[in-house]
Amino acid sequence: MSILLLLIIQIAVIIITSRVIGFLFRKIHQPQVVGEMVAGIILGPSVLGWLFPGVSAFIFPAASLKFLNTLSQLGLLLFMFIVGLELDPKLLKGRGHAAVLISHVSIIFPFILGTILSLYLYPLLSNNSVTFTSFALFMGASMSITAFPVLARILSEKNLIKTRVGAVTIACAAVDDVTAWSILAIVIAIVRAGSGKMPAWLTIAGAVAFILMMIFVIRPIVAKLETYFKIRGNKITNDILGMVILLMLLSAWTTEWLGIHALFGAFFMGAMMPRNKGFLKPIIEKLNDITLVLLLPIFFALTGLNTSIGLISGGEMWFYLLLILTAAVAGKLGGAAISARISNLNWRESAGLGILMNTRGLMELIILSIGLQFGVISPALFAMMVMMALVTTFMTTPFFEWVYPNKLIRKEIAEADIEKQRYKILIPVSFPSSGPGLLKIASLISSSSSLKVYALHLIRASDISISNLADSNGLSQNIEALKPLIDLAGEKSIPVHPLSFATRSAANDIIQIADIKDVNLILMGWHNPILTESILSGTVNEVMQSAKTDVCVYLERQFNPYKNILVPFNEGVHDRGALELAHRIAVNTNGQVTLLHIIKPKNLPPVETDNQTLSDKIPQARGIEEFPGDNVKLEVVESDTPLDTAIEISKKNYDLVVVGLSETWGLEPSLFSKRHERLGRECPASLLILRKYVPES
Amino acid sequence: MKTIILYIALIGILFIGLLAILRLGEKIKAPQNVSGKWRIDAGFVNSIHNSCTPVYLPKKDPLVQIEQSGIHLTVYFNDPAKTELHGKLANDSMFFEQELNVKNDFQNLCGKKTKADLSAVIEKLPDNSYELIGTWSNPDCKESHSIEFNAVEIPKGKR
Repeated sequence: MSILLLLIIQIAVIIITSRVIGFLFRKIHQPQVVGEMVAGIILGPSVLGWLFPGVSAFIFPAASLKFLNTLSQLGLLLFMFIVGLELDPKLLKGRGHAAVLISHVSIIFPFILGTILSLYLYPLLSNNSVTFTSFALFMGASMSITAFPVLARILSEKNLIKTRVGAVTIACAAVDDVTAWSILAIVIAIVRAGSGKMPAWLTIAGAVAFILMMIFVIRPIVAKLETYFKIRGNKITNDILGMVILLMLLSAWTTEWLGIHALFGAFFMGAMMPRNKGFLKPIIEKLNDITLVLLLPIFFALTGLNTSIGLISGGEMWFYLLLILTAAVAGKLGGAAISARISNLNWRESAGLGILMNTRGLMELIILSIGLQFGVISPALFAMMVMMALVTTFMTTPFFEWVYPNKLIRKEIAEADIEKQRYKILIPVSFPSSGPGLLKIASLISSSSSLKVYALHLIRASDISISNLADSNGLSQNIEALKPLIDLAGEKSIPVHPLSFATRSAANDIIQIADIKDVNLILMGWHNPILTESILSGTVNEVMQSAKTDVCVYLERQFNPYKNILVPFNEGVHDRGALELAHRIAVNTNGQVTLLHIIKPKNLPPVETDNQTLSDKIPQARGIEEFPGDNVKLEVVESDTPLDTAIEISKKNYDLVVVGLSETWGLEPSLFSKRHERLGRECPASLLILRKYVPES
Repeated sequence: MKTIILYIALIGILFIGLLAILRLGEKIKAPQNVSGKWRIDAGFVNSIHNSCTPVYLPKKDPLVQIEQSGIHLTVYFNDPAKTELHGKLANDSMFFEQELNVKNDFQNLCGKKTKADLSAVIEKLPDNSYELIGTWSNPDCKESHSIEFNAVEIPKGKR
């Protein structure tokens, strides 16, 4: 039979088996990939070759496997590229430290157990052509891997991403992926050095040079693909796809040439691609179909063809397998769970995270295939490790459901939804006296039941004296600054999370905390400047410039329930934000918002009719959602000097002025002039200045 | 800060532990590498045809392939029946003991399933290649006698 005919038969058999077995495994709530792994073993010598040796020899003659192998290697390159594309640095947002700690402990723990086990297994399952270092490092690496794609699929199928355990797990798995592949690259370099091909230091130096080159040279070039993508109408054309695949192949070729395996290059190029979802999603979709349905099942089949479970014969061999399984599970599950517990997750969450991180799946098979290809692991050990990968992947779903019943997941998702709907405000508090005022205005921006406040007191590092350090009550003194705010919050039943620490850069820390806590608004007090006349300067200015959320500065004249609110409105995103903020307050105080629109003389808008919307009346207000109820009133005034007019009108019976940051109102922080403070100084009402955050995209 | 200290402590200690293990492991000796193909001596090819457990090796290029997983060995002969034996390696000696299905009854004096024993010693030749020297026997079969077994390692580049 010609090679092409045979190849077609082989691929057809592989696809049919993997789809059928995958379907059956889905029926028992297992991920498709477990079924596909089992399908590979069924097609190998362990089942088909054992039951029907003639059929096996006919379909998979040894000489023909090199063609299948080529296809499977291409599949792995594409798969690793997709894994790189799916890496999302945003996953680490707010949990970077914990994710890195949990992930790295959950790598090094099984890694160590793997190397300890090697002390016992090396003289039993290896030979003197492999050094102990290579053997132990490979055992360690293969014990410590987590299958990010399988994990992501389990988490999304169970809708777990919304829960704390799911969010931390996916972040850990992402860190795990990058770390594990970096470790593997080093291990491969050492193994190849052991076989005398290239000194390890040269390979590692080459790898470092490659990574630096990718980050500082290739990444900016690759970013231009996104520009081209936008020019082509946000469509992934065949030209762009071809370019992307070519780049991936080039990167894979380079790492293979450097001696750290082509898969590393494919993965790294994926991670270097622009993070624009609109750009990545169609590429992933285009590549996923052919990779997951055609090429990966071929890899599973080849793995199965190399796996002879018959080699695990006799009590001795099964004992080795038991040891491997114990080390793998204890190391990964135990390591991840303990480090998660240290990172303040509760025991149930920690156990759930450990179980999820223990999923090895396809990633394990990839590492094992590399080990077998390099001769670092023997055929019997390969079979045992494949069994370990299967068992650890298979046990994930039932064990997780046992620790985390569906009822509990639903409850956590509901709680997470409620939490997400909460309006979160970060209030940096410098002086104890300013806290209550800020909390009061915060409680008007959002009702107590849906409000969550983070009260932050920062101590400048330069203000910490030796006597402070020696004071055992130092921490409580810090919280003392927040006490009036916390007391008031207690009276109003507003949930407050006090935070206090030493800082070198107050603005940076405020911005970071806001980012980590994912707050909707940073609410800052307005203090009399000491060194400068500019009010929106220093920390306030830095926060306004760089915070990735809305920032509001509050100047309290006299706290009233704020029933009459004035919003000077010109145009621009900050003015629109001010109107929305004022409306929020008016809803809570049952007050009235007057939208003051100042226009040049003789530029009056057309005559109004009753059914006109706000954007009909003021074209600049286009895009503002229409406000329900009757608490927004429009006042149009002709004037050449809008700021003077706004100040003049604010002197009428208004108790709060909400204004957007703009030059018109003399509040643009880039303007260091006296005009800058006029609204603040001359307006008799309390003042809220809003800087609306506009994401770059 | 707490996380960073924990990180450095945990990872640092474990990393030192890893280095200690690798150092310790350098002293462990692994079994000799015998995996690969070996060319069988013509004398054995002729004699094994007439044993209680005949293996019909080809006259041209009679080979035995050894698959090694540490001390656990599997040998595959290149006869049409693809005879395989499972055994172990101890120091420089290997031992295989297996019941073989015997298909040609007229040769078989000891029943359909007969135990075959293969034992060999690994010897280094002056050109640094290796030779297996041993015997093949059928301990259950009184009429049979031991057959001398010799095989020379085929250098990896020539396989």
